Amino acid sequence: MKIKYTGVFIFLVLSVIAGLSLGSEFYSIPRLFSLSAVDKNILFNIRVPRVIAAFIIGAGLSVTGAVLQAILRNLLAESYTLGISGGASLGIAIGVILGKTSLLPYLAFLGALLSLSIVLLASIKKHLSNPTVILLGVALNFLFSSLVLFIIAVAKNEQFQSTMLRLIGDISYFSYGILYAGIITISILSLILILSGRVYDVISIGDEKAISIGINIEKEKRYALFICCIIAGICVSLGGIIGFVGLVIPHITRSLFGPVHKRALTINFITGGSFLILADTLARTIIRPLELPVGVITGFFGGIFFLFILLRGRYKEMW
Amino acid sequence: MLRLEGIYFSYDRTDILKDISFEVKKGEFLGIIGPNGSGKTTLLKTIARILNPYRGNIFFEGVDIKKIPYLEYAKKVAYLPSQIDIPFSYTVEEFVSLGRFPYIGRYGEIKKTDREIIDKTLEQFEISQYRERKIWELSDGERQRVFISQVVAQQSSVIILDEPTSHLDIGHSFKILDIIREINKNGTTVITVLHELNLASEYCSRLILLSQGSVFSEGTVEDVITYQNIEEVYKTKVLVYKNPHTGRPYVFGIPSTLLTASLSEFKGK
Repeated sequence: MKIKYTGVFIFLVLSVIAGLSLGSEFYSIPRLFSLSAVDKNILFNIRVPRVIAAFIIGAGLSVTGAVLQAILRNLLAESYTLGISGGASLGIAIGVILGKTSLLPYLAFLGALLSLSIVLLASIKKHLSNPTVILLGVALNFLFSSLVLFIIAVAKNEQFQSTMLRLIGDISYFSYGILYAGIITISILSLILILSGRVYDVISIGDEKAISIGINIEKEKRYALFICCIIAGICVSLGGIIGFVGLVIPHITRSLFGPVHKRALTINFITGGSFLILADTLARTIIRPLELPVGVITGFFGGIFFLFILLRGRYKEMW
Repeated sequence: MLRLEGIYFSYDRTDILKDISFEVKKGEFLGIIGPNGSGKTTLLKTIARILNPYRGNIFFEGVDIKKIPYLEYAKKVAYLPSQIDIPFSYTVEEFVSLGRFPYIGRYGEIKKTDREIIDKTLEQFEISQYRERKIWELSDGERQRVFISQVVAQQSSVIILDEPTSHLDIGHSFKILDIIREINKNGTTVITVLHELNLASEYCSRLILLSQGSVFSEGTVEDVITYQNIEEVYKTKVLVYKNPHTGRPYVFGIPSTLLTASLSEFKGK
C-alpha cells in the first residue's frame, strides 16, 4: 500500500512538472529555476493557472464520477455519460447568448440539475436497467450538444462562437473569477464527499441494506447528487465537456486501492487532477504549435476504456 | 418486542398484505412460511422499514417505528435481503465492518470495540481466514455467511432474514441455521422467511403461515405444519410425519404421477 501511495504522489509531481515545462515553449527543469521576465510572464500568467484549472477540473470530475457510481450502483455513471455535462453546457450557451457571463456557473449548475433530474426520474418511473440509464444519459448529451451547436450557428457573433466552441472541452481560456471560486468550491465539496465516504460505502451495497443499516437513503442521495451537479457545473464552466475522466480514474483507482470510499475518493481527487494536467499537456504539445482541445484526448482514451468495460460483459464483477 | 397492528400494503391497488397483526416476543425464533407470492418478503420489508404500509402500525417496544430515527432503528432491527448485489469488490472485512455504521456514524472512526465485535463475528461464522479476500472470490455458501455476519455485527436486538439458506446446499443450510440458532440463544430475536418447510420446522420456535397476504395460521411448529394447512395453502398433496430424532413435523411432497396412480389403484378396488 505504501508503495502505491508513493506512486500517486510521484504521478502528481511528474504531471505538474510536465504541465509547467511542456507546451509551445519548452522549459527544462533548470530553466524553470532561472526565468527571464518574459518566461515568468508566460509561466505564471498562462501555464500555472492552466495547470491549476486542469487539476481542479480533473479532481472534481473524478470525485463526482466515483460518487455517482456508488449511489446509482452503476459502474458506467459519471457526469458525462449521465448527460449532466451536456445539460451544464446548454446552460452556459444560454447564458452567453443572454450576455449574463457572471451567472455562467449558476446556469451550468441548473442545466446539470435539469438533465440529471430527467435521467433519474425516467429511470425510476420506467425501472430502467443500469446500461439503459447510461444510454438515456448519452442521448440527452447528444440532444443538449446539438442545441448548443444550434445556438452557436445562430449566434453569428464571433466572440460568442469562440466562447461556446470551448464547450467541447478546452482549458485554454477561462475566467479567473470562476477559477478562484472553482478551486475553493470544488475543494470544499470534495472534502465533504470524502468525509462522508462511509455513507457511500453503505449505499453502494443496495438501498434495502443501506436503509436497514441506518441511512436515510432519499436524503443522502439527494444531497450527494446536488453536490455532484454543483461540481460538474463548475467543471463545465471552466473547461467545457470533458468526457470519461470521471469514468476512467475511479475505475483504475478502485482496482488499485479498493472500493472503500474515504480512501478511494481522496486518491481520485489527486489522480484525477494529475491525469487531466497530463491530458491537457498532451493536448497542447501533440500538434505543436497548434493546440488540441483536451476533450479530444480524454475522449479518445476514455472512449477506448469505456468500450473495453462494456465489452467485458460481466463488468459488474470486474473490479 | 415488536407488534404489528392491522398492516395493509399495496404496490399498485392490489393488496399484497391484508390486515396482518401479530406480536414478536423477545428471544423468539419466528419463522414466516407461505407459498410464492404470499407476501413473505413484503412483510419483512415493512418490519425493516423499507416499505411503508398504507394502513396499520408497527410498534417496537411500544413506540411507533415511524417515529424512530433511521440510525436508532438500525440498532434495534437489522435486515438481510434475499439477494444482495454489490457492484464493487469489497473485502470480507470491509463489508462486515459496514454493519457497525450505526455506532460509528458518518464521520467517526472504527474503534477497538468495533474491531473486537467484527473479529468475533468473523470467527463465529468461520470466515476469519477470508478477511482479506474479495467477496466476489468466495463461494455462494461462504458469501452468504459473510452477508449474515454483517447483520450480526450490527448487534441489533432483532434480526430479520429473508431466505438465508436459498441457493445453498443442505450442508451450508444447516451450518448457517446452526449459527443463527446460537445467536438466538444468546438473546437476539430472529424473524426469518424460510422456503424449505422442514428447515423451518426444525429451527423455529414459532411459525406464521401466510396465504395471499393474510395470516392463515399461527402458532407452534406442530400447530402450523399439519397436512391440512399445507395442502390448503400450497395446493398440493403432502404427508406430514415426525422426524424420529427431533420430534418435529416433517413434510413429504407427493409427485402427481404417484397420486393419480394410487388414485386409480384405489378406484380399481
